[in-house]
Amino acid sequence: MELAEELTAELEIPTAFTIPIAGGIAINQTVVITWCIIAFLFILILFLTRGFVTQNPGKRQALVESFVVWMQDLIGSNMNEKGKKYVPFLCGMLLFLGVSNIIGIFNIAPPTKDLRTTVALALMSIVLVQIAAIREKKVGGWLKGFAHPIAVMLPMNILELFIKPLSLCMRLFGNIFAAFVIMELVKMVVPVVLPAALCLYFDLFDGLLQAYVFVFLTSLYINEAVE
Amino acid sequence: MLSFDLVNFICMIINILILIFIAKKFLFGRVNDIIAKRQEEVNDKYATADRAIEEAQNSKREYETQLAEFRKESDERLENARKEAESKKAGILEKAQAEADDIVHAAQTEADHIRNIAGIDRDKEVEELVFDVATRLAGHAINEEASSELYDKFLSQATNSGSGKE
Repeated sequence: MELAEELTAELEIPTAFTIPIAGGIAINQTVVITWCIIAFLFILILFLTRGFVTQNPGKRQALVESFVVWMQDLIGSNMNEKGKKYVPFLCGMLLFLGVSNIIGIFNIAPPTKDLRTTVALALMSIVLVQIAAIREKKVGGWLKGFAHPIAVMLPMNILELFIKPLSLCMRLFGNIFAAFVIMELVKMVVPVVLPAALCLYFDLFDGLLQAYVFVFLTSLYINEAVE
Repeated sequence: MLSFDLVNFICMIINILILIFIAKKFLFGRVNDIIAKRQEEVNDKYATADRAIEEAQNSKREYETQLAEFRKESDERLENARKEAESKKAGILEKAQAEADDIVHAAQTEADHIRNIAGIDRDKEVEELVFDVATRLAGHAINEEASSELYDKFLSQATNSGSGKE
């Protein structure tokens, strides 16, 4: 019973502070952690990209360029020509997801453990897909797409509009949530050695894998939408 | 545990959008810009190199054309000079031949003249000698011994005058 209570407490998203407006707006820990991630990444990016030159780049510049090109290739290789313009957006999303998922290594609650984060990401993802479809096919073509390939498929296609973001959201949330729960259980049972080893799988490997899966599926949806 | 409130949800959307904007603007944007600039510089260098190669080829073609023209002109000049030299040579030879012919002719004329003169003198001497001998033979009684002496004298004089003229 004590274990269950402790676990429940760990899974709670506590309020970080309250803004004293309209009777108090509670800002939870996830939002604050996300601000920290934004600030950290912003400073890191500014530091890494300062003083870039076109000729004879240094090691830092070469490393950053290689990383960016690799990341864009990773996402861009799945996409057709029409979808390539969304690659920077997806890379930004991948960066956020990657950092958010592996932040558990530093014993910080990952933002993706919060359902709000994954729902927000899934919503943004599906809005992006629909915007891409409308930009490519115009509103008429986009609406006709719901009756594709035959009119009988209309209810299925409308359902798909909600199923896709829901599956994206739940897959990410479920994986990160489950990893967090398992890690907390392991820490309670065996506090030393074993959590360190499992952390490599659940926080690093699974975290990065789920981030890639999320962005990869979004890129596939964009591809389908712009074809 | 799975609570959901709209304020924090909107905050999360804004946060994610801000982070994506930062990554796009300051990381991917900067890196892509620098790669594009580098590509542009490389393309410029290639274009400059291509232009230089083209200019060099044009210069080479121009040089070869000029060289061919110079060779042609040189050959023409050489041919003209050869023809002129041949012509001058023929003229000089002709002139020299004419002069030589004149000299030879003059020499022959002179020689003939001298020969003629020499012939006349000898004949005169012989004539005078014959006349002298004849005179003596006719004017005096000549014995066999005196006649033989006169005859030898005549032959001796005749031989001397002939060899001296020649």
